[in-house]
Amino acid sequence: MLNNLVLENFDQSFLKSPSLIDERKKAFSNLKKIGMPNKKVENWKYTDLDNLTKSIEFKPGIINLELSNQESKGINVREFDYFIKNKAQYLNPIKILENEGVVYLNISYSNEAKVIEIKEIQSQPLIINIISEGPGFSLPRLKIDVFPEIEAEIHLIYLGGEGFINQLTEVNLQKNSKIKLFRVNKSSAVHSETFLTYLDSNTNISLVNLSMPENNSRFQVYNSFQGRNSFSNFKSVSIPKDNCHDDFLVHNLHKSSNCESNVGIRSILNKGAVCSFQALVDVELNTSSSKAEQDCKAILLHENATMNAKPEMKIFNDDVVCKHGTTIGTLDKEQIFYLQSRGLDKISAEKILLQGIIKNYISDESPLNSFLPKVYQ
Amino acid sequence: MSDNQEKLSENDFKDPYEFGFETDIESDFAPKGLNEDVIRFISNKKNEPSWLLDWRLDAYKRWLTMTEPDWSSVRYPSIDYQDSYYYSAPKDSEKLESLDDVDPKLLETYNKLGIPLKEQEWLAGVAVDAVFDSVSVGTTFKERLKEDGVIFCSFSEAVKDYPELIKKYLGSVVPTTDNYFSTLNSAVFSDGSFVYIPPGVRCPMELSTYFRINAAGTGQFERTLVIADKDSYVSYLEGCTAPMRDEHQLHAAVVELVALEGAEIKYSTVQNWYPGDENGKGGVYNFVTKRGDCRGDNSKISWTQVETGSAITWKYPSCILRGNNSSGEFYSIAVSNNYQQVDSGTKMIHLGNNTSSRIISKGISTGNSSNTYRGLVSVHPKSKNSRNFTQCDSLLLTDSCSANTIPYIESKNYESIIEHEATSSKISEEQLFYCQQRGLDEEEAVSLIVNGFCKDVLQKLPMEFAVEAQKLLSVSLEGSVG
Amino acid sequence: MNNFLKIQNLSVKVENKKIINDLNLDIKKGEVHAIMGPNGSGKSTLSNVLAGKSGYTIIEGSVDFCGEDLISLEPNERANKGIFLAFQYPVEIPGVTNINFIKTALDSNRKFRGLDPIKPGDFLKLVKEKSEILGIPEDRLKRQLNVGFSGGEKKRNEALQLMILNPLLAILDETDSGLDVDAFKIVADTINSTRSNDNSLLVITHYQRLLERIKPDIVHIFIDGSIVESGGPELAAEIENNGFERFANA
Repeated sequence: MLNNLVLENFDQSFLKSPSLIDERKKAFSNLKKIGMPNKKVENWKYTDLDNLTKSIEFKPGIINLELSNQESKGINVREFDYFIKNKAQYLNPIKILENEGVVYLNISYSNEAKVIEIKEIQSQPLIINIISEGPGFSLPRLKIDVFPEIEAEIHLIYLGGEGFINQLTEVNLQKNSKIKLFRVNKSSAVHSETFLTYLDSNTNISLVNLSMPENNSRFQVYNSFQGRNSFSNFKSVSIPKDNCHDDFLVHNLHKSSNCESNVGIRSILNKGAVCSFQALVDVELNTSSSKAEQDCKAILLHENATMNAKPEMKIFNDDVVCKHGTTIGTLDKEQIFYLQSRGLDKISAEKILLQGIIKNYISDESPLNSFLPKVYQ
Repeated sequence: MSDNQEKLSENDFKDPYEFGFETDIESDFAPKGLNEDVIRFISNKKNEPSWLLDWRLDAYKRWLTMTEPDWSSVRYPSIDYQDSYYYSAPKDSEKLESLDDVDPKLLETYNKLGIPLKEQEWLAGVAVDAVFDSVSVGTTFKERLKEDGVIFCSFSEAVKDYPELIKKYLGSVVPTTDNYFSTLNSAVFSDGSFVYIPPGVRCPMELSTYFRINAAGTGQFERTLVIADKDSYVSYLEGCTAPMRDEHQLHAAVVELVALEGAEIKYSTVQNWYPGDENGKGGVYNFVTKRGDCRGDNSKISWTQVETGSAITWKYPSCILRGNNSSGEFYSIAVSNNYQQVDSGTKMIHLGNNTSSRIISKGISTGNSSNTYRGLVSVHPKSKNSRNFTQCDSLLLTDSCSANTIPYIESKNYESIIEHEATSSKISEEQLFYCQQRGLDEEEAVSLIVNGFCKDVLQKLPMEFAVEAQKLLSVSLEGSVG
Repeated sequence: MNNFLKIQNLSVKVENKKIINDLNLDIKKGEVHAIMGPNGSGKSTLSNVLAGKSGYTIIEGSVDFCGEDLISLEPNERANKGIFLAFQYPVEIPGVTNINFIKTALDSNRKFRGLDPIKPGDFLKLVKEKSEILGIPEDRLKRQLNVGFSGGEKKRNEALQLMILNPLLAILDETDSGLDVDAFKIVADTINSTRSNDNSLLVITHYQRLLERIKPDIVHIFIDGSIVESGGPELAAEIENNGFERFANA
């Protein structure tokens, strides 16, 4: 694909930020060196993004980040000019994530950016709609900066679209802050999002992700625990459309002591659907009292469904408690039989059991509930 | 060597490496280095048929095109394959009629290892095929086994006496193209064991082979082939120990198991080769390819391993569950201390219907060591109603060691069920305090708790091995507390 | 007469919080002492400090046992010298069978006293005899140490170890909690039966009911890390009726 890159098509984005030209060019040359992610890259072994994007024309797609209530008190929204003034910030993701093609791609040509500073406690959730129009490569960049002692809730919604969306999202949690995120992915574009969080001390991030992609999707999360006593909780429900691939990667990088990370997935897979879940707990040397859990449950409903899981633990320290559990299978026949014996028909019995699996993550009260297919609500 | 000898006969565990001594038997070396001529030399020494020489040469040509794998977590200085001997045999290598003909020094070596052949024969009822360096020197109980039609002999004998079996099965589980180290083995393997259990026979005793590396600078390339014909059963024990030396030694063994319809193979290993000293100097590089093929319906292969030795352990005893209703098991304890590096695990490949697999892995790391479990459970689309259960636990004893768990789980069949659980933790302060409060010192307490941690695997070992393994665990962990 | 257990001016802190405050306690051979106090008064800290658990800092004071400084000893050394702690919450140790553990503990103890390990036959006889008294079924001896034991089963198991190890000083940390009525009687009476002129007991408890079966010679009221009043068994009865209020306000 890179051979077909027509750089001129993207000049517009360069012009948007002339002072970043050197940085962008450097990122692009790095991208050319390592190429787009493919199955030879261990972290991408289940998704060949290079192949998936080959047929998409390399020209700028139109992407919009729409904010529901950006006039709210205590919220500052800034555009690309922020990064022009803060080059180090612009390049920050490369420091956390080296040699990642999609990050280089975004940095070289990112064509829509929003920086959201949350400086006061928010009573209402902030809703961000990510909308792409037309074919081509859409490269949005989003940075959420939560100030000390602040609590906020944000909804990220991806609907429709075409072409290839390659988003780079950063969440910076300053000391004692807390953020609750809800994410809906019903994108019909080839979708890839790299999600980086920086957790300072005593911070708390939770994300509930409802992933129902109508194309191939990749959501990769890197939680970097930079201060003590922090907590992250990432939960995903994956119900990809038939023949679609929903790929997750969550790396919890325990660089500080007393931190806790939880990551979980519930996957329901139909005809030709593939879900992949790669999780890593990385407990670095000289950290103590780390806690981590990984939890993966997949229900295969069709003979052509596939689940891949790679729950990895890398522990360089003895003061840890890490746990992992995976179960992959179909619905429990005995449970179905039990429900049938109570008078339910088979379809209703299956529905109830699937609801039970989802409700653990998305309750009736959750803002994500209304996005679920009717049968699961 | 007399000093060493005395030290060892005390049989105390304070000796840093109990089995570290060297027998000074003259070796018959192939010239140093690796080329086609060396392979011809090996083949010629063993009077091999030409098809086998061709097979070796094919493998060698393939090997030349391959690169050493770098995907595992083990790190070591690059190996100079030209700076090693690929063949050595005890000088007295003509065929021996009985144990009485064996070089007394050799027997003495085994005595030091605590495996006196005779005693073991008579007391434990174990047939021992002792592999010293590369050539088998004593095979016992042959007569008893012959009555049942069981073949248990050195690999070279099998090449001479049962060429049709070797031709049919050699490389049928681990092809010459499989991986860098197994391909190297295919080119230069010197000797090993061969087992064939005829249809319907339950092998009347545990078959046991003691491997041992000797002679400085000699790599060991064992080749083991076990075939269990229809409805037969065999339990095979493999135990290893090596003399102390400074130079790294390469070991690249290949073990192939074939279980035909209704057959069962149980393969147990206790591995305590020289792990290097406290500073990570020396020690064996152990790159082993072990694979079992459940070729027939209702067949079963079970791997049990206790890995405490070697500077580097790189092995993934695997099962290909081809037959319907076949089952595979992997029970593993891997201990790493000082600067040891372990990268071990298993692959369970579910191909047939109603296949089942079970993985229990216990990793214990201490000192500055690194201990990785790497595994694959793969259920293919046509493998209906298959099951896997995996339990994978790591215990870390010091803050400078590491434990990695890298499981790959891939299910392409909706009627199959996979369950995987893993934990990483340290010994809790409460457990230690409780034991100490009852009078155990810290080292005893750790040893007790570790043995408890490993119990699920220890109890899968044959009795005589279980005792040895428990002893080994304590020895391997010595000095790891504090 | 030589002092058996002598605690003098003991102050202990945990993570900068002072838990035990200038405590003095004298236990003589053959005596049974009870320590009663409300939740959070530092009772369990005292038992842990005596047994040598890490994480406690001795700010000042001394603990002598049979004329020897206890504080400098490792927990196992204290155990081998005859101090036994019946834990309030015995920890689970997976994979280690109960009976194997008890034998290992007894043999460590014997080794310390210069004795050979107990013969398997003798040990089996001993364990069976004591288990029977405590109503512990044989299959529980083969189970993993405390794994999946109910609260009551754990406490009976602690009592079993107490009887087999036969310590000079047994510290019972809330041994009565988690026991149903029948088990309570059996465990209490069994422990009571171990009383002799050579052994002492330190009973830490909330309630008087245990002290009705194990009659103490001296009762101490323990508030905020020190003894505020000592007396005879009648003190326990008073607590039962009026609670700790009088002492707390003192």
